[in-house]
Amino acid sequence: MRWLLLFLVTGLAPAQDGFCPAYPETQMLAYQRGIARTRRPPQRPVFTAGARSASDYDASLDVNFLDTSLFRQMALDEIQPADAAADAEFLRRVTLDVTGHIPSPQQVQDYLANTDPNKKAALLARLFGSKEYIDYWTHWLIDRFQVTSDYYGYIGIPGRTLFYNSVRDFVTNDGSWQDFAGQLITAAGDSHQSGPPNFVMRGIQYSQPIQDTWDEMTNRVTTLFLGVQTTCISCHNGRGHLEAINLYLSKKTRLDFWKQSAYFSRMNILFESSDPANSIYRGYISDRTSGGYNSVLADPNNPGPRPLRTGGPYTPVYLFNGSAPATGAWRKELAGAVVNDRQFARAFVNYLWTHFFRVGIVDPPDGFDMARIDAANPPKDAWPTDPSKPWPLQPSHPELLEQLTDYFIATGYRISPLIRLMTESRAYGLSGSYAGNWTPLHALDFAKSFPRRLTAEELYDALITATNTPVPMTVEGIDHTLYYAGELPDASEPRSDETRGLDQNNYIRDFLDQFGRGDWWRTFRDNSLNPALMLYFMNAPPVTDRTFGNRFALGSSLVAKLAASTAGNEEAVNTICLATLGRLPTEREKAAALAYPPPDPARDEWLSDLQWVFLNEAEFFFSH
Amino acid sequence: MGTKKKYSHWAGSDWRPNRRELLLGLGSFGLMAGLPAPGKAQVSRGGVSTRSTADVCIFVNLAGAPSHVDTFDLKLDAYRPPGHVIGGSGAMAINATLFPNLARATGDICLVRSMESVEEAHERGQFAVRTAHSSNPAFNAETPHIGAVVAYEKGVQKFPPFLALNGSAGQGAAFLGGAYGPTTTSGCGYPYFQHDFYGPASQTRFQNKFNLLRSLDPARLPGADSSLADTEAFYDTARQTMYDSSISDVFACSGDDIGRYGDTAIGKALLVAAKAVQARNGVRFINVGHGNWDTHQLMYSRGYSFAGALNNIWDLANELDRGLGALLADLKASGDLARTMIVVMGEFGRTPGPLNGQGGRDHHKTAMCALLAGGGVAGGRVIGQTDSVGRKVINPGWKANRSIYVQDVVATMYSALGIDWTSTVTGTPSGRVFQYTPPINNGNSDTPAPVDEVFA
Repeated sequence: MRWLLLFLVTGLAPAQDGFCPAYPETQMLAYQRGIARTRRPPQRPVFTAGARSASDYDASLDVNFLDTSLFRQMALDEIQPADAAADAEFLRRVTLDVTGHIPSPQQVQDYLANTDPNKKAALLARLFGSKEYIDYWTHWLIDRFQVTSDYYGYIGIPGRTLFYNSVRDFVTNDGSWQDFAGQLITAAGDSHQSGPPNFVMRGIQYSQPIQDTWDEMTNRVTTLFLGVQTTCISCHNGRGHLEAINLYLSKKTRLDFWKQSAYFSRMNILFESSDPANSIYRGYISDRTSGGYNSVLADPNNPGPRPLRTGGPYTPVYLFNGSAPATGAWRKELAGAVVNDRQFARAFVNYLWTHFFRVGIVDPPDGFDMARIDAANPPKDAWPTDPSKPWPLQPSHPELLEQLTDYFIATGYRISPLIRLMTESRAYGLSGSYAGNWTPLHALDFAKSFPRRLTAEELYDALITATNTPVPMTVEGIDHTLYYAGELPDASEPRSDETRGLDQNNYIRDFLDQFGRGDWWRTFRDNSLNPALMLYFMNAPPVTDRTFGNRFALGSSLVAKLAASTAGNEEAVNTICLATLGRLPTEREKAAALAYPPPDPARDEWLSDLQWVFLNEAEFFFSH
Repeated sequence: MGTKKKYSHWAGSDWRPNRRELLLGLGSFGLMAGLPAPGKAQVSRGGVSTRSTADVCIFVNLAGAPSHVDTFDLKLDAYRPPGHVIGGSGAMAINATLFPNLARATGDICLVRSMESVEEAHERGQFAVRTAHSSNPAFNAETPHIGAVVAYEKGVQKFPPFLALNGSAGQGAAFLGGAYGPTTTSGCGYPYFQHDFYGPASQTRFQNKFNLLRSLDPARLPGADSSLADTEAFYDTARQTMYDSSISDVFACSGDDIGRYGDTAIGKALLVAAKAVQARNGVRFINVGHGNWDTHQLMYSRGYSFAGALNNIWDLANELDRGLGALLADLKASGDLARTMIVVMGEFGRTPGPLNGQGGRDHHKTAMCALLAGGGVAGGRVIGQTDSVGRKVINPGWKANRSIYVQDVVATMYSALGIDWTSTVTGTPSGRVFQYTPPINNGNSDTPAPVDEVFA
């Protein structure tokens, strides 16, 4: 445990800057791995049964290069991976992670009964071809861009819907992320006529100097497309602040940031009210051919949230390689610099990895330290945590990150090949259970699957799928009825619908708010749980109504269907467990359920109680 | 920085670790899984001595930023609303048309008039009021609400320690862990402490279901992963709050009580706040939201609404005053005012002098005010002074001899609650050292300090 003590001692000591992130967890684990390796005795130690070394790494089990890299590393580290997940465990995980839904009881039973050795490939093919795949990845992306209709009056429902549709088209067509990012960075024209300009509208900083909008756009671009939050150096130089946090940014200055931000300084946004109450504004975005990043305040009494800027006007310099634009079309030049930067591909790969493997190869995935990525050119600077050593590389698996990056580029920057690569891998299909002794090194090596709490939207959709109680939602600007939260075009929906007696839209929004959807602006997504949420889930009508029969006009619920069927008790218990948890009940669960004596013998109430119990099992809240 | 002490979950005075807390304390893997890992947080103390005069705080957050010069820092020579009656006396003058009850209760309240805000935009200003931190995109998501800090420090007894009434608190517990997050409800009637679906048989039926749930195989996934076990523990905590009249009665409002506090969202929220304090079973921080103080136009036009909600100072002040007046009276009568610190403030002030062309006031940050009461605060006291129109602070009126910022008010509240406001936390998700009250982002990086001058 010496490494832990070392961390505690050194972790407390440095007077860290309060404004930029550090990644001590990753550093600590990488450091620990270093110690583990250097301390390894010359002879291979005898570990618990099944321990292996590189020499008995079994390549025949690998599905693709991702496995080769991960399992070889595990063998080198003498880490025993978890067993493969059971079929039901894998089915639920992959269905959630690829489509945002839990599998239906029929899908579970079919998959369990299927003896075809290629059934996993067939499953993936089904998921990839589904409408839910389009819904899910559209939602995954819009959740990152956070273009919500409620962002001041700058987006509105028209802009929101247009933006949603442009992202949806990108996913539907399995387009190039390179092309799409370029469209967003250079977006021009009327924000109520096409989607991409709303990416710019979301960056506008209300009642602040225009420089703050440029700076915010810059941070959004570097974070979303390059995996580097640069907001720290928008207020101060890296020096004196970031030495213990981000080696690369510690050597960058606020002036460097301004020059990066200068790419946006010729952007022009004209506003025009688009409704009688002057509460929604459409923007018309264009680019001037002159001008630069100046430090002059339009209103000296309103300096904005950042310290005063000086000098200028500055012309653009790309922060990550020092290149300058070749033409005066600065946003176009920025788009070219960003999307042709290898980091652009690397960052996306790592974001996607974090979705499927829960922890990034670089983690957090918006915290790349560009001085610590290249294994061929490792950092030489002393590591503040232990100055006798150089900074460690940041990625847990540097070569794999580069291989994945190559793969993404080679497959045309399309998302679906990457998703397929990750989900078909042996590593993704490991069990969430681990029988042996678990250490932080196991975590660093991805030796098992980690649980991920379902997002609010996934949880709502799981609830209505498990209980078979879809409720129509009407959303302005969408021409068809929606049933799933994963189909909603932004976090302001579903709005109240006063045309209906029972306002289900309010119920649904309340549920999503309770479980931490956030508003894509002031309130951040929160995937934690707490006792108040458990009270809500156990007792709130939007949840409990769904476990009853036909009492609440929620259509033909699972319980209503079972109550009307001839299914025996054991079959009913199986069906409820399959529908809710995506697996058959354990013997103990089944026996307890069959022995459950409701004081009121009505069969639909017995069924209802049982579904309530399975819904409230902790695993329901997770993709595990 | 003085002595550093490793924080322990066992540090609470009357608080024993239950299974949940043990699990929280031992949950070592959550951080890697992207989940909160409260067990990793390490608190260091600056070693200051605290006032420790209060057990609980009621924080009334006036969102939208109320005008200081029309509420608690009257400048009648610069603007006097026609026909309004002025109450209070001398330095404690209060517009009694807007605040009839407070004008009669000046002996119980302390008005802080030498305040400034760093911010002039609502979101950023509100973030500071909620967290005592400047809004920073890199850290906003991990920054806990001040109420969660209080809950974390004081621990969980029985009643949810952090209650959010009449609107979301806006921030949760973040890395401190779900147990310290807000329990959010509008006011009267929190419906989830019981299970109402089988009529009179519901409680027995619920217990049967719950017993079955907890008797099943724990869906524990071995491998040093606490997130599922934590979830099961949250169920146990939640169950302990159900079917307990000492908890549910807090939310049961009588017609009489509503009559005194006002049949308004703010009135009912303050009524529940009073009852939660009086129950004395573990509430530590109550956030009460009151919105729409952003009065850019027609602010003295009684009945004026914008986007369907009252947006004039007359109606807003009247409904707030009725609830606050009843709250002060009730807590005083039950002997709880002395142990309850009440803070009433918004995110910044508004432009002083005559009203603007639209009959309202715009955003203004170089002067604002707060109302404090109870929990050791001296009544009938005024701290600091602004210039003749209320444009800026001319006399800070406290030992630091500079304007008072929200961080100072929070330090004051922490001190009253016995919390070392100089505490810092390591082991946060980003690795940033989280300071309970960070340096003030006012250009001088002033160190926050409690305004001890407010205390009796």
